[in-house]
Parts: sequence; structure tokens; C-alpha cells
Amino acid sequence: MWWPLRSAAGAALVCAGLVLVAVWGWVRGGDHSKLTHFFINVTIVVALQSFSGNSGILSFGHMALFGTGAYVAGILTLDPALKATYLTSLPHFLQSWNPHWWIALALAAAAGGALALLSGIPILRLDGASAVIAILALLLIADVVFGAWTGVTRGGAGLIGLPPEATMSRALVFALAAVVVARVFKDSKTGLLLRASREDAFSAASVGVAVRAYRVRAWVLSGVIAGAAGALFGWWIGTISPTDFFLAPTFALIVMFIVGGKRTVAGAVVGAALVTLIQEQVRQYEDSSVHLGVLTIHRLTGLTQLVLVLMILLVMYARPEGIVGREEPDETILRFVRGRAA
Amino acid sequence: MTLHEFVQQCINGLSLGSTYALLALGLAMLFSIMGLINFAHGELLTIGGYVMWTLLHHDVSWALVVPATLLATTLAAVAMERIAFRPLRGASIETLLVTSFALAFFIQTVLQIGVSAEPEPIAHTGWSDRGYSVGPYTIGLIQIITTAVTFAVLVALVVFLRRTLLGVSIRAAAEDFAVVRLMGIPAGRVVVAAFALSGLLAGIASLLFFASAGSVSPTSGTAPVVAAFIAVVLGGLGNLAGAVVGGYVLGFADQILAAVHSSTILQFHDAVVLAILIGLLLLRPQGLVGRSRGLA
Repeated sequence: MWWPLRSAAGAALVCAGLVLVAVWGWVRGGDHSKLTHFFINVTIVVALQSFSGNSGILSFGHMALFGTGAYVAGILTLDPALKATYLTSLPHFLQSWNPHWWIALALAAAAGGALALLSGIPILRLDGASAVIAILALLLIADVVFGAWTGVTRGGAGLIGLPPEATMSRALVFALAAVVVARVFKDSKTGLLLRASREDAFSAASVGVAVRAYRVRAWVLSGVIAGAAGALFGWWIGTISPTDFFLAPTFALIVMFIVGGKRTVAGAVVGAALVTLIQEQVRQYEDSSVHLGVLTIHRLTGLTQLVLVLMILLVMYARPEGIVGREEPDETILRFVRGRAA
Repeated sequence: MTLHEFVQQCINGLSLGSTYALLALGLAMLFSIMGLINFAHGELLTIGGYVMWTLLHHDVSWALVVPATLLATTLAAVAMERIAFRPLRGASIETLLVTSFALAFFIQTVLQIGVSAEPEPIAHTGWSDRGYSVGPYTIGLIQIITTAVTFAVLVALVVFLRRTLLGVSIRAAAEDFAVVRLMGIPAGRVVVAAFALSGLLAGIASLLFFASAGSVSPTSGTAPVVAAFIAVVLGGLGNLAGAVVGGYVLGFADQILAAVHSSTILQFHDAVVLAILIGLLLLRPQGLVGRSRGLA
């Protein structure tokens, strides 16, 4: 079978899982917002996986790409009346132009990709831990720009009143697309050579693998997916401000990526499922108070974060390769079946 | 910018750079010995700030606040090693990095729940905003203290690292840990000493930082430690002298650019500084001091 088709078929198992979750949501009716959140989380963590999982460079900067997508799509689709009041420095043609959601989403993805290309060429000249810190610097730069460019982003006051364009079915479609694209990329020549460089960058370079160029490719692909995910996130949450794209969400994203298993696309999806479940279930207790004998805690701000910390530490100590491990589930099944046949 | 302004900004940069250098040195030491990029280093700074807040709040004199803060951050650093990092010895750089990131969030959340998410005021000392005029220049007392203390600490550190067995072991471990262990130096002692030393340096930085910052919040440590990360990379990752150089370069760049920028760009000041430093790394990916070891 032609290899991209085989990879896509391999991703079918994960996709079927996502579709099942959506069907369960439709049958049960009620609040689809949580499932939409889940699909958006799947998309962004798959974006992270396609770069960090293959290259082995952990990115603390994906929220910069994600936030860029969210701001681009949000600004484009904001009600023109609101644009005129809030966003005074916006160029005139953007003030009046109110594109369709999919055009805005395509532009958000393009912006994510463009930022990735622009930042990736200098940053990915660095290697290992230096690259990790330079990517973190990108996150800080983005945070400053989102916060200080008040005439365009409305800064810390936040961009309010984004149209609710992120329906569950749209989020599902993009999650499925991201899963398939990431899987095909992982199995492609670029993905394979990149994974070789992850195991040993010097050996890979010594046999002629252009490690830097492949890293930049993965980073740009990741930027495109992250930009699209960001657009959906802005429409889903309705209000965005710089803190939505800074360290706390970065931590949640890293937890999703690591807990599920960083080497596989399936792991990314499993991690997104676990973290979304915690985010949606624990958040409701954050305003409650606790009485421990003499000690009374009035507000459990950051309880979600605490649960995420415990979860990731458990994984780090007990199973550093994550829940899914080294192989995609379809690869495990195939190996098992072949082993029996032989 | 006139020469006068330039010199004034250099004076300001010297004290800012000193704080970065103290933090960067602790980070570089841990990275070179065990490959740890310690995100939780900033939380040592924060812990120092909360100790200062608690003691000053109860009118304890500075003669006690200083040793208590240093002791607290040193013990906190040793506790971090014992509880979080010792079980992971020999783990990959990524595992250590993620663990330290989680640890940083853990400490922040505990402080948020246990104390408050809001900033707590640190009582002003009276002397911290005193300034002197030297010719046309203004020098704050806190700037003099910061710079002088940092230089003294650096001299003491050089003596320690060159003249004592433990110090030489730490320097050797920064070069090649495996060989140090083959020479019969107990690995555990070197690692604990490095953590204690990084905690002590963070404690000194904490005293200098919060005496002028005026308040402490659970996330106070994040911005300075990220700046220190940049300083470490700038100096050449894992190079101790480079970390100090990186800290000062960052301090000078920050202050000089602040004077150059017009008010519109000033809002983007931090972003511009970071972008320029990334640009510098583009020219010298191995850092300002480091040797090239990168991919061809």
C-alpha cells in the first residue's frame, strides 16, 4: 500500500475514538462546549507533538503560535462596530473587512506558519537546551506583544465578544485533520529522519541528514496546526487576553504532551483527554473552601494546576515514556497479529 | 543619547546585571553538572522574598533577616534536590526539565493557596531608595550595595572553586561528571553542594532584588529567572564564567536600550531586548564565551 495511505489508515484507530466521543456527545445532548474544548486541546497538542515528539526539542513556545492564531482570527471576525471602538490602530481595510470564519481560520493558520518560519530559522540554529530556552524566549516576546500592542490586541483588557464560530463539529473536523496530518508527517521521510536525529543528532548529521532544515519544516507545520487551533480556541472561549497564552496554559499543554506519551500521536490524544477531563471537572471546586482541623483555606485557586503537577510528576517517576509509550496502538496491534501469524 | 546618559545607564546596568549574574551562576552550575535546566530556581527567589516579607512584617531586624533568608533558600534548594531530583538522577535532560517546570508550578500554587495570589508588600527599608550624586551621575545606595555584594560573592566563589577540594570537584564535575566519580569523589556530595551553592546565590539575589522591588507574589521569581536563562545561554550554556558575562551583557543591554527607546517602543522593551539577544545567538550559537560544539 502507498505509505501515506497506510499511515492515514493507522491513524484511523485514533480518529475512530475521537468520532465516538463526538457521537456520544450528540446522543447525550446537553453541553457540547466541553467536548469542543477537548477537540481544540487535541489539535494543539498534536501540533506540539509533530514538532517536539519528532525532533526531541521540547517546545515551551507553542502558546505563542497558538495565541497568534487566536488573535488573528479573533481580530478578523470581531463585529466591525466593536473593532471601531476597541482596536483603534487597526489598519483601515481590516476595520471594515469581516471575512467568513474559514477564511479567518486559514489566515490564522498561515500566520502561525509564518511566525514559525520567521522564528524557526534563527532559533533552530541552536541545539538542545539552548534551543529550549530560545523557544521559551519566543513565548515571552509574544506575551509582551500581545499585552503591549493595545491598539490591535486590546492588551490586558482582553479581546471581548468573539463570535462563537467554534462548533463541536468544526472542532472535531480539525482535530481529525490534525491527527491524520501529524501521523502522515511522522511516517514521512522528513519525519523519519527527524526521529533519527532525535535519537542521536550527531550520528544523523554525520550520515547526511540536514537536521536543522528538517527541524524548521516540522516547526512550520506545527505552527500552521497551532494557528488553526488558536483560531478555534478564541471563538470557543469568546474572550482572549495575554494570560490565556502564557505560562499556565503552556504547562497544561506540556502535561498533555508528556502524560500521554510524547513519541506518538495517539499519546497526544490520550493526554489531551486526561487533561481536559481534569480541567473541566476540577475547576468547579476552585471556589470552594476547605476545613482541615484548625486550618481553613478559603479559595482553592490553582487546584487544577496542583492536580496537573501531581499527574506529571507521577508519570515522570513511574513511566517517563508516557501512557501510550513508544508505539502507535495500530503498530502494536499489527506487530501482535504478525507475531501470531509467524 | 549623550555620553552622560550612556554612562548613567551603564551604572544602572551594572546593578541589574549583578542580580542576573547571581541567578545565572546558580543555573549554570546545575546545568553543567547534571544537565538540569532548573525552572524552579525562580521559586527559590520567591521563597526568599516570602521569608523577608514574614520577618520584616514582624519587625525583625535586618541583621537577622539576612542570615534567615540565606538559610531558607539554601535549605529549600537542598530539599528540592533531595525530594524532587535525587530520584531522577541520570534521567534525560527533558525529564529533569519537565520535573523542574512542574516543581515551579507546585511551589507557586502552594504559595497561592497558602498565602495569597495577590502581591504582599515588603516593608521599605528607608535606605533602599537613598541615592548619591557623583559629579553629574546619580547612584542609588541599593545599586552600590548590589554591585559590591555581587563582586565580593564572585571573588569568594572563585576562591572556593579554586582552593577547596569541594570547589575543585564542582568545577571538574561541570566539565565531566563521569571522570570525577572515577576519581573517587562522592557524586552525591558534589550535587548537594552545587544545589546548596545555587540556593545561597539565589538567596543573595533575593535579598538584593526584593529590597528594591517592594513586593512579593507567587510569580515574582518567573521574570528574573527567565532573564537569567537567557543570560546563561548568552554566555555559553553550562559555562560558569560565561553565565556571569551573560548576566552583565543582559543587564547593560536592557538599561541602554531603555534609554534609547521612544515611549511607543518602550512598551515592547522586553520583547526588543529578547529579540536582539536571539539575534546575537544567531551570530554565535555557542554563546559569547563558549566553544563551538554544535551541529555542523
